[in-house]
Amino acid sequence: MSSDIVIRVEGLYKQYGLPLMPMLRSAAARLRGRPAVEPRWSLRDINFEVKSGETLGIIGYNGAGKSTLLKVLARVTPPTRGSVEVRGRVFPMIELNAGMNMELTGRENVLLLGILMGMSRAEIRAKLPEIEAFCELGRWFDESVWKYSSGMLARLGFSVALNVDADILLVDEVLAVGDITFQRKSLDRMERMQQSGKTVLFVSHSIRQVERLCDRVLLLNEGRQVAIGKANEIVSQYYETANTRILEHYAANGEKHTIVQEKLQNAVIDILNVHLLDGGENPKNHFHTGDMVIIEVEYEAHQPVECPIIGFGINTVDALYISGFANKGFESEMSLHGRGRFRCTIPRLPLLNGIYQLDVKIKHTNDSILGGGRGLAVFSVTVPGEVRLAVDYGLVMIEAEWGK
Amino acid sequence: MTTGFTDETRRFLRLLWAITGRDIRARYRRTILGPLWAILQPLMLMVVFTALSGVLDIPSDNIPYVIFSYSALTPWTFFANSVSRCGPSIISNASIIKKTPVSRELFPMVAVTTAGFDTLMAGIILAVMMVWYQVSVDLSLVFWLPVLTLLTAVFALGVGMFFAALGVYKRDLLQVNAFVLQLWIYATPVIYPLSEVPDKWQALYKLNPMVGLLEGFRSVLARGETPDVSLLLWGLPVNGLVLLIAWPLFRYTSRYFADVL
Repeated sequence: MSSDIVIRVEGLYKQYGLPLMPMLRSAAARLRGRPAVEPRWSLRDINFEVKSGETLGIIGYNGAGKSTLLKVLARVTPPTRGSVEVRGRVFPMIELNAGMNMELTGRENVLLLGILMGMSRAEIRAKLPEIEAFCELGRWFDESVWKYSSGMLARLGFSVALNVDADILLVDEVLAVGDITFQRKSLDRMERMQQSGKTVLFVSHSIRQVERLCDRVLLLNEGRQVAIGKANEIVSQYYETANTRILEHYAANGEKHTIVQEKLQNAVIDILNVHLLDGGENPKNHFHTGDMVIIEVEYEAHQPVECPIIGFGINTVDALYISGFANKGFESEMSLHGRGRFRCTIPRLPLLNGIYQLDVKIKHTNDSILGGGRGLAVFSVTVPGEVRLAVDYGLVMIEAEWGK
Repeated sequence: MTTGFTDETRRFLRLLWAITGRDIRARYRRTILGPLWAILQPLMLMVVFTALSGVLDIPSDNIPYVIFSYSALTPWTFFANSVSRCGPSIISNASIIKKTPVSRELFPMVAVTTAGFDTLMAGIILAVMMVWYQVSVDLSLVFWLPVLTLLTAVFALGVGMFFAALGVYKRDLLQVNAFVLQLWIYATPVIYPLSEVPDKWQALYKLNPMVGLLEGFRSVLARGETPDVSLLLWGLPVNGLVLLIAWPLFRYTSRYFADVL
């Protein structure tokens, strides 16, 4: 291995379970003259290298093989084929409560976890005050952990993990623990560890965290390596595939079904359909940052309504509400009766990489709700190259003018 | 390379000590009597055996029946507990096995050490009884007791690892394990003396390593003699063979434990 490469994975295949069983099965199949059973690979043909001090994100859908890959790197399970070389002290932050005993106190468990992670008693004792302070458990630190809430347990595990000296950290979906201040603190600590030259492999479903923390990203799908490269490029690619997947999912459930399900019941105004169009009036579900977007709503009003307040809300798929906007001040130009449609134009879409859903709400001027629904349209956004030069990550593009 | 080996060993022993401590401490944490339970259990058993010997007339080679049975039952319990805890110790430590690359041998060994702790407690009761019945002991006990204990531990580890190696994959084996131990006690001179076994069966009977070991314990603890070494040697091939098969088997299958837990 060249001097600065600490992880090298070549032609890695992984199949779960004793290799003996599938071997016997395929031998039996061959004896009966049937074609050999194709093994079920959890990982196939994975190849990558990680340099010292680098942070590599691993993303993909459930079952893509992310955790399997970390397990192989942590030497918890052997590869079926291929080679895996890891240089340095590896610390798997895969599940932080591994080995914790509910009957023991927080302090006793810290000692145990430390030993499990390869520290000597003296090393842990030296770290103990720091760990105790970091987990902020106060008097609970000397109580049996069965009395802890799940958040407190996670904090205890995480505090030990963050205070272990290791060269390579394997992090699997652990930043989602604890309350918001603890999450913030953990994220900061991770960033400090990165800056201090530790190599980090980071698996997460929170694409925003991956984008923020990682230099490079590995995208897996059904055990295969789809792409590896610069974080924002791979994340864009992920959003594009995620988009088709989510849209397929919506289509499979039937657009109508989605609307009926999410629509306000017994409404005065039924929303029949919501279409998204581009500047050329073509229906679309995928836009670029800065594109013109036309929202067209088909409705049926069971009673005529004059001067309604119409509002749109945009959420990320992970349920973060980004912004809402309404026709306030223009209500008088609108009247809804019978079947019909109305439009709203967003001249320049300010959203960055992501998948978004659109909510609609129609209110009377006296604030009573007339109709609406959630998730009536789903669309994805990717950042085109020229914009990527000006913003790197986040949710929205803020247009700015520069001067002296 | 040698320093790497000793580091590894030191780490392993540290883990063995820590996990054993965890299991023993956790067991008595939410009890009122605490570690007293470790003494109470063998004490109850002693009472039962004393009562039994008053009612039944079981041949016991002219040794008080309580001493006769207890001196063999204690090491037998050590063996049986060690073996039966091996498989479950892998399963109950699944969270460690799935997340860290610690040697999988650790868990069968913890099974043996925690059973060893219980045996130590039972040993205290036995010692008190030996004083009460004024059993005379030979000084060679200082040598033989650790040797016999170690041999029993090694045999228990072999049998336990064998069942754990396969039982983690097919849990039927763990059921079979319990069943085997139940039968095994009748093929071992725990509640009856070796002299009661018919001559034509003796050769086959003595192949069971537990025969030589338990008779050894009985010689040392109840009769104040040195163990019958030839009897110990009879059992040695099976003891060695089990370990020779079980350990590599465990080494191999345990690499994939994380995949099936």
